[in-house]
Amino acid sequence: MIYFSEILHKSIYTDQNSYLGRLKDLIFVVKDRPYITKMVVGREKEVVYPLSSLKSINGKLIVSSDVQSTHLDENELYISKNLLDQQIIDLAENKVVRVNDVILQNKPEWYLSGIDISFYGILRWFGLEKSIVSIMKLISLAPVPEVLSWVDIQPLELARGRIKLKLEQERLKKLRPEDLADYLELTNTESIKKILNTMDQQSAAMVIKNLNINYQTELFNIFSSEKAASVVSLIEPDDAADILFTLDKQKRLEILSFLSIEDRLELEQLLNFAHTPIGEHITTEFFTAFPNDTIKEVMREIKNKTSNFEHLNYVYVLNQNKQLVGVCNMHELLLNDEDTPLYKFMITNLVAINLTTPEEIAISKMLKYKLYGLPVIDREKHLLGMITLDSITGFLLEHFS
Amino acid sequence: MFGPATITAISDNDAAGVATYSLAGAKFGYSILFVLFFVTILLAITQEMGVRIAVVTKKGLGDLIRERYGLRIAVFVFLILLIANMGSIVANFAALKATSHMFNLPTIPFLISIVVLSFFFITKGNYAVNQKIFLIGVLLYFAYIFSALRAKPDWGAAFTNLIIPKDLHFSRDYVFASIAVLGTTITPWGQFFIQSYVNDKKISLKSLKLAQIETYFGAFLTDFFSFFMIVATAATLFIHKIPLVSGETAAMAIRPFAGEFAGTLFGLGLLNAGIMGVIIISLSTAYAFSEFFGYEGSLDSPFDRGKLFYGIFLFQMILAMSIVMLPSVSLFQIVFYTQSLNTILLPIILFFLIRIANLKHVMGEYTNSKIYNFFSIFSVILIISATIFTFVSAFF
Repeated sequence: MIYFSEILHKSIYTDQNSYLGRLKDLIFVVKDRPYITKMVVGREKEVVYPLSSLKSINGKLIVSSDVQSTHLDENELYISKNLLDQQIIDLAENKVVRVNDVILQNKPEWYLSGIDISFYGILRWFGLEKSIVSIMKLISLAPVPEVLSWVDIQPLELARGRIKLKLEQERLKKLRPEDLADYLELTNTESIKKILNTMDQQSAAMVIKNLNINYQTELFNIFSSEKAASVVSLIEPDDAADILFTLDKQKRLEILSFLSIEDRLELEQLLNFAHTPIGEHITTEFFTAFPNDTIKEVMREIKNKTSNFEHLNYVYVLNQNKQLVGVCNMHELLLNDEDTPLYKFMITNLVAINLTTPEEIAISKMLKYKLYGLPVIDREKHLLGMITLDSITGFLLEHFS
Repeated sequence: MFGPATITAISDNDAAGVATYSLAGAKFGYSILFVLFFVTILLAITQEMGVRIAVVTKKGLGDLIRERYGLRIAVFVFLILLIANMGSIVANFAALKATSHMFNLPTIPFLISIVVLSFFFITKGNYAVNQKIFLIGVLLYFAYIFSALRAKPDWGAAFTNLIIPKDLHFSRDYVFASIAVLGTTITPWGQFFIQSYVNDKKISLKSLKLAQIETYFGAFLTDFFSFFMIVATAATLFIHKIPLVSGETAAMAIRPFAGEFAGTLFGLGLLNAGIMGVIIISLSTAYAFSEFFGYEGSLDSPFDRGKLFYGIFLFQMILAMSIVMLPSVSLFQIVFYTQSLNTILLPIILFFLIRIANLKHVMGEYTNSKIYNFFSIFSVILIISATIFTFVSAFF
């Protein structure tokens, strides 16, 4: 990922090294997935080129030399002209904040993933982000990175020139649990937890029941076992079993121990039926980070969070939407400069499997690509867990003896 | 309808303004009145553009600068405005401190109660309530008229000088005083405030004509009062050749000539001007901050939604008050340097103002006309060269 402020006004050359101008703006389509389609290059006058001609961004932008100019299409908007610095309003038309920076993703294709509304976004324009943030961290006053995801914004209003949020916190609670769950899935676990905390136990449990399994798992891992048990007792046993099955064994047993005897027996039975091809190999003992975290920050997190891990070979990199976008191994982490953010060197063409991948295929993939671990993801590329070389040694031994 | 333009224009006669007029009147007598005529026209032109832009775009100057010129320029302009406004608020608190001595009031409790009361009315009262309070403030400027009447001035000389500078002795000092009068009346915060305040009132495009007429009236009323301030000191201190060291002490100085009552009225006028100045200038920073960074900022916002807006308002008042209370701080230097910032900022603000008023796709049929443009650009060049002149010569 990259911030718009980092590439705006960068020089653009063709791969034959002839100068085209500077990047003045980017153009995106107003859709569910707002792909970046074109770029505006300014020299004496402004020319629009298709983004498909962009070959690399490395200090300067390189485009292929046979690039042809194009023009703005219907339902396309400019990032700088229509989005950057504009006012964001909520449903009740209250002013919320302005757009300080725009976040772009380049995997699998260039798209606009969100809007930076934090203090970091302001500092970045002055090249002060790193220095001021490190000073603020010293006095433990680090500002919270605040990011609005694309899905929080009403595309229709945007076409009318207004950046309007879909929902405001107050209104959220008045929704039906199913709808609220749908909405919450578009945010992150932290904000889900915040909103759940403001609700009564019964309705919170109903919302959790309607969330998708990844969020349920994440929430249960954050909750204390006692709290998790109280949620389990409020929802249907089969829903509860689905969630418990994704947790690691120790956490599961702990939660069960807080339940009444009848509830516990019913759930234990249900858990025995649940089965997936590689289910027994999956561990949820993995470590994740964000693309713009620096090595220094990641190292500190590793020290804080992984002391009870058996192994740690990989750092999995998730984007804002918690989708798996990259991986770094420990060796690379040690080799690079400690101020380097992960996105600069992470490997992005990942080898991953899903829950329905047969055991044999998963293991042969590991051996073929010589990996110590394989991430397990769902259809939305959310990381569910991983299988490690450790967990399959039993299987291998069986086959060789 | 009535309100925003008059309140903004009148608060250009804040305590610093009153002090400047008193000094100018005491030193140059009726001859300085000639400048007032031009200042009124310049004020009317710049404020009218602000009102028109606000009513047409429904945006403040801060909104437009951020949206058109980007974050870097927005932050830069805001920081200068913040510091320059702090200086102006300090100047007003200094004047309030001087009036507290004059009326034998205990300074510290007096200043603290001004801060507490202002904060209370701004946060608790909505737009309508606050506008009424400000308009009462406007009425209190009549104190200067009575004070001038008591001074038994030579009305003939006063009115003649307004149009024909009969007694004018053109000198370097006279030019300085003229520019000081101009600089205290046309201010960056005044330009920010009028747009924000017009927007906060949500004036519709239909009422634009009325708003424009009010702007001209406001500019007239402001200098109408200034006229009497100058007359009051010209008829006393200038005639008797009494040098005035600082503007805040004018009320004391005119007592022997115009009588106890006139002095008291003059002092009350200064007190009122100081309070108006402190509140309006602090509000202008708070409005500007909300616009530049996109937060809710309106006198109608409930406290919890406008926390930043009200917080910045309070913060400035407390900081300025504390600076004034410190015995070892040289207020003169603080005010001098921060006013220099105003001088740097004013041309930038006026540049943005003219640029925006000329954007056809933003202003539509309300874009500056050719003749108006000629006139406004001429005025702005005049203001800018005058301010640059003072700024440069201040260092020689």
